[in-house]
Order: sequence, then C-alpha cells, then structure tokens
Amino acid sequence: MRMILTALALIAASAAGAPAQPETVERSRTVFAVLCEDDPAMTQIRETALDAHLAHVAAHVERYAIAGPLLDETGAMTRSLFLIYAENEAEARAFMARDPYVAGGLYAQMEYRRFVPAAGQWIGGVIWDQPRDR
Amino acid sequence: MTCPTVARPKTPCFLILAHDIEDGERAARLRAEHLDGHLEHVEAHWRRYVTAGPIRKPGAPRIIGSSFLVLASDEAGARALMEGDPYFTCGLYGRVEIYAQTLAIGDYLGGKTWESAEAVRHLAAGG
Repeated sequence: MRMILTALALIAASAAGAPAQPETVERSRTVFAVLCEDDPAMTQIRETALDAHLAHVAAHVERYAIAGPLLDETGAMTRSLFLIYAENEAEARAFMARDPYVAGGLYAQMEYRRFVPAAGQWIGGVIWDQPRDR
Repeated sequence: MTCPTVARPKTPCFLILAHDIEDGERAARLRAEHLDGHLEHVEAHWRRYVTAGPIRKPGAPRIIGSSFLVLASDEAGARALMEGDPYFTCGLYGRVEIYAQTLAIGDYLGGKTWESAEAVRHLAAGG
C-alpha cells in the first residue's frame, strides 16, 4: 500500500510539473539477493520443471521483490536473480530450496547476499536524507 | 493469494553487479571519499534504477560490492549511466558484471508477467 501511495504521489507531483526529486523513504524488510548460475548439464530443467517453477513462484509472489532470468549475449537464459524477503540467510535458503528449479538441480551455483534497496523506483525514492539545497 | 498477471515492462533492464576491489581498507576509504558524489549521481538519476544498493555476505557487516538494476534502452545506455557514477570511476570496483535482466515477477511489478507456462516455454527452452 505504501508503494502504491508513493507511486500515486509521484504521478501527482509529475503531473503538477514538480521536479523529479526522489523522496526519502524508510527501510523496511530484509532482502536477500540470490544469484543463481545454471549448470550447463542441467539446462533441460528450465523446460521440464517450468510449469512447477512458475506455479511455485506465483503461489509465493509475496516473497519476491523482483525475480527473473538473466540472459546471455545470445538471449539464452543462463542465470536467475531472485530478490526475496527473508529474516535471515537460513530462511532464505530454506525458501529457495522449495523452488522446483533448485530442487531439480538446475543451478550449479547459488550466491546469497544481503541487499539493501537504497534507491530506485521500487522503493519510490532513496533511503538517505537529502540536503535541502541539493 | 492469487498472483495477478501484469504487463511486461517496456524498457529493458540490466543487472550490474559491481564487486569491490580485494583491498578492503582501500575500498572502504574510496566508498567514504566518493560517497557524496555517488549519492548525488544516484539521486539525480533515481528513476533509471529499479533498485540499487550495497551487498554484503549474509551475517557480515562489511560492504563487498553494489547491485544495480538499471533501466536502459540497451547495454551501452546502462554502461553510460554507470560511467557517470563516481564509484565506477574512482577505482572502487575490481570486477563488474552486466547481464540482461528479465523482470518476471515480484511486488515491484505487482504480479507476474506471464499469461501461462505455454507462453514462455520457448524462452525456457533457449529460444
């Protein structure tokens, strides 16, 4: 709801001709970035487990800030990025383990990082206070 | 919870993973020295970012890099935005990865972008 209100406020500000200054917004939930690299020997999982993967992700949409495949220079899916909400790394790993792509062995490598969403359209501004004269 | 289907974003998105140099002390110094310029750059262009921020190993306090999801018409546009960021020009990052990112689902989008598995099966198959 906060994001919707922020977006509406931004649209209203834009319509009024206000400068596109970011708002300062509050930090909220803990986010983990999970960068996954396909195992070249397991790429068929992307197709064979597609229905189950999409069903899983859609059923838990509230756990994802953003998720989707990464494309190589030929346009092929070779990695995936998940920005997920989790209290800690163990919870993040447990949640990811339930994804049919993970359980099926698609990924040779999964890197977990704490990510602080500090700026951008998703949060509707920036998280740091801004000098009035900037 | 029913997941709504939403329109695909019109502007391409790029994931830029920037890894700090191995020398942690020097990286921390560069982050501090160029913080003002970096924040000013990000503020000035904040609508170009889906999201951006520092990354850490889970449970560790030290920043080890930055992640940027950037909206740009092409890779050159994404790189040009990055080259205006003092963090990219001061030698902070030892390695930078860039990928074409499909924004497929999440609360940023307000749902999922596929109508059905059939509609995206050819993409998953490498088509």
